[in-house]
Amino acid sequence: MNLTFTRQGPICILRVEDSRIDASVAIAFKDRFRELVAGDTGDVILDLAKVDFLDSSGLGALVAARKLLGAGRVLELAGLTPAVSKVMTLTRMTTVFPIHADAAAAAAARAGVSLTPK
Amino acid sequence: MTKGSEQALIRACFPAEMGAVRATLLTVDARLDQRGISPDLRACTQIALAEACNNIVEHAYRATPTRGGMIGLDIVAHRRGLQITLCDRGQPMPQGRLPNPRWPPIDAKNLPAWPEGGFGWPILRGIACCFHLSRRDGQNVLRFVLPKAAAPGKRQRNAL
Repeated sequence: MNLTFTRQGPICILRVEDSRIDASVAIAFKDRFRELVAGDTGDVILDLAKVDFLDSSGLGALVAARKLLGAGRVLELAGLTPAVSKVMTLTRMTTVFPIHADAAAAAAARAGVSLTPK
Repeated sequence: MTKGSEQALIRACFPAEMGAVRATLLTVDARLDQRGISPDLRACTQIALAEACNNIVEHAYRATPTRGGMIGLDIVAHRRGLQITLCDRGQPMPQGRLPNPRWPPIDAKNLPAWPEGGFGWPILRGIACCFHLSRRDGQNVLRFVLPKAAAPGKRQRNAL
């Protein structure tokens, strides 16, 4: 499972380079995600622009990835293609994952948030 | 085996194993694209076939994972959409009936309890219709239709 890691200020951007997150790679996705975020403490944007298919096993892996980060870190999704968006909408996961048009929009939104004192 | 306005599009037989399911779905998508099937209906087909085939791999053949179980697939086009038929020689469905589970509940505030599974059948029920399950001669035959008009937001109507 090919994921690439880019740091942008306090944010980690993970881009999925494979076209499918399905039952055959769900565990590999989870393992790779864990490796990449383990050495970091920032919020994570997962760029799914190259992913044209997600099944329920892949969705389970996304949820597992979210749990790995814990409540102290945020996982936002970016670049949902039509079939991925369909599964996210059907399962109502769109109600619990922040979703952005693309990674740049997600990073810009995060930058905006960081300007506001908590 | 086709009649009237029905047109056989795809017939395949492949090992009940995740990698083979993926490879078959990619072939199916390319073939449906060649046949002029719309991107939306192709996306629904990918999702429905993935869920139905994964269910066969994980449940029907669970007890016999090393015995070379196979999955048979037929896709026929007719005026309402695509009719899918999947056959396997694994275990029968519990009580011999199609599962119809509820959507797993999601509580946004309770992260550890977010569901990581239980979506397969609700997704399949959400995008397909006209389900029919039979078992004869040790074979499960699951048939359903992916309607041409399937679109997000029509889930409730299709699910009933």
